[in-house]
Amino acid sequence: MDMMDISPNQHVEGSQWRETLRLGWRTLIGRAYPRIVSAAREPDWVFYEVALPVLQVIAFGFVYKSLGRPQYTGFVVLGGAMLAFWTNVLWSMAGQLHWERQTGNLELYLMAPSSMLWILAGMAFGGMVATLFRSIVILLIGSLIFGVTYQIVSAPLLILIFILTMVALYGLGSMLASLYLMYNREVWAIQEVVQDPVSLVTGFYFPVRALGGVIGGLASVIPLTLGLDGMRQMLFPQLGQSFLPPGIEIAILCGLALLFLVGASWSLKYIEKMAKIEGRLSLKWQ
Amino acid sequence: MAITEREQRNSHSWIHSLRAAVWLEWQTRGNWTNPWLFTLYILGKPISAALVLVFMYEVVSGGKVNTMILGYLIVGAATWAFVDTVMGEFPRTVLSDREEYAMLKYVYIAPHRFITFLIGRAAPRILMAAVAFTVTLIIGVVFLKIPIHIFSINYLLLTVTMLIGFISLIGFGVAFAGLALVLKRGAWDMSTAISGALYLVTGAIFPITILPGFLKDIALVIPLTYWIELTRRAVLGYSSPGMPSGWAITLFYQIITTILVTTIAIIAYYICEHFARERGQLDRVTGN
Repeated sequence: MDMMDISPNQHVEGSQWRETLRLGWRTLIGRAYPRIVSAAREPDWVFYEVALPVLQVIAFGFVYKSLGRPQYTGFVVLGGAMLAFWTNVLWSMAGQLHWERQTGNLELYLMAPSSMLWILAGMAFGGMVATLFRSIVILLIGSLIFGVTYQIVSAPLLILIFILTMVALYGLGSMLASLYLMYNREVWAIQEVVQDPVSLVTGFYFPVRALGGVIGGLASVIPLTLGLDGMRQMLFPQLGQSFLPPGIEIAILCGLALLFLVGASWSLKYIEKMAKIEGRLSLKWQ
Repeated sequence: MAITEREQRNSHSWIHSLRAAVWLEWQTRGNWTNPWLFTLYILGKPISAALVLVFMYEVVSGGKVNTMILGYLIVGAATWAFVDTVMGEFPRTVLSDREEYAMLKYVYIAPHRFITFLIGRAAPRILMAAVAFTVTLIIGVVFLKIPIHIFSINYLLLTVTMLIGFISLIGFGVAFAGLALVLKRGAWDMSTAISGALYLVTGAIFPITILPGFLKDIALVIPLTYWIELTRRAVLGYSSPGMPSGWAITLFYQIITTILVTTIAIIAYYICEHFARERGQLDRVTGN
């Protein structure tokens, strides 16, 4: 197509589109930056965010050992590593905009020329990268302590399941981040209420099949349930105990990723609309 | 000996301060929602923690469940609800009053002992944990058939070990509150970190015989180990591997270790408080 064929309006639209994309990308990197860099500048996270989950992994690993089934400690180690992502999504994604409101940053986010979706994407990307490193450390330490051996069935499938789980999980976090803005003081309590029951139904420390079809099916709404089950099938085929075939789990995870990403966009629009009607979105201590 | 007017006033002041702190805690922790969600808030964590263990056991037993092992796991997890619910409240009171509400300096200079205020703030949590403990055991008996018979529970032993256990919890909590006064970073996570370490070494969910040698020795100087063990004996009627065989000697160890830990904890608190006053940290917001 010749340049002369493009009308001035189309040219302006194309330029605006590029500018929006450039601004969005810079916002994403800008919001992800403190999450990644703070991990390097504040080494005390090693104690709180690695040592703590490792202690929990060791405790549950010892439970399997005391019950005479040390081969199941691999389930615990993988669950402990993935738990780091769930904690990150819950406290640093879902609850983040609420904390930002408390510290006064939310107004700045809302006034920024970039879309809030890019800010959420930056939070998710930064959190994911920083947590990935922590998660790998937990996996390595746990595996060394309990001598866990992995039999990788298919590395590409394992990576695909992991990526889909992360996209869906952080999509869920982005959706909750805006919905949590409807709540105030109770956010902290809601987080506490949600954290442990979710650890139960997603099967962090045991195969979700043990919960039965109905509870396991309902728990599959949380991407970690099927993500963990799929990854365990790829890493510990000798133990069996799978919930669904990997193909079906991948298809459901794709659906969940789409659902939560669209849900995040919708919930942000809804919150913005409510903010205009009620005018109390950025009010603290309601 | 006649009680002087000043002593009587001090005694009333102590009770008044405790009562006010209890009321404040109940209001701030309980008025954010309706009773149903609040009940879920109290019960969600301990019941989930117990059920995780139940399903882990279910997986490895292949359906052939030994109710004695299940009872061991359930009672341990139910007792841990006290530790989980109460211990972290002490530093959280310091941090939320200082960092979120900016009220710590006013509370601190009020004419009462700050430790009394902290104990009062944690007291409603003991009640919440007691509800969680009871409901977890009821679920264990009704749905999982764990061998607890209401008429064969040793209530005297249970009451005594619980009361001593609360003293040790308060001891740990007071020390954590002191640390929260002086820590610059990670103060919010500190109690969770220490609680996680204690979960590992106190035999809450597995016998301490499974621990490596040095961790086993550490377990035996922590009062919570004896508390959990005596609660199991009082409720289930059987002892755990690696623990003293008689309940009297176990109770003796619980008392001795509680005195030791509580004394160290109070000294640690006063040292931390001294440093916090010297450095002006009582009203310094860390931003964490």
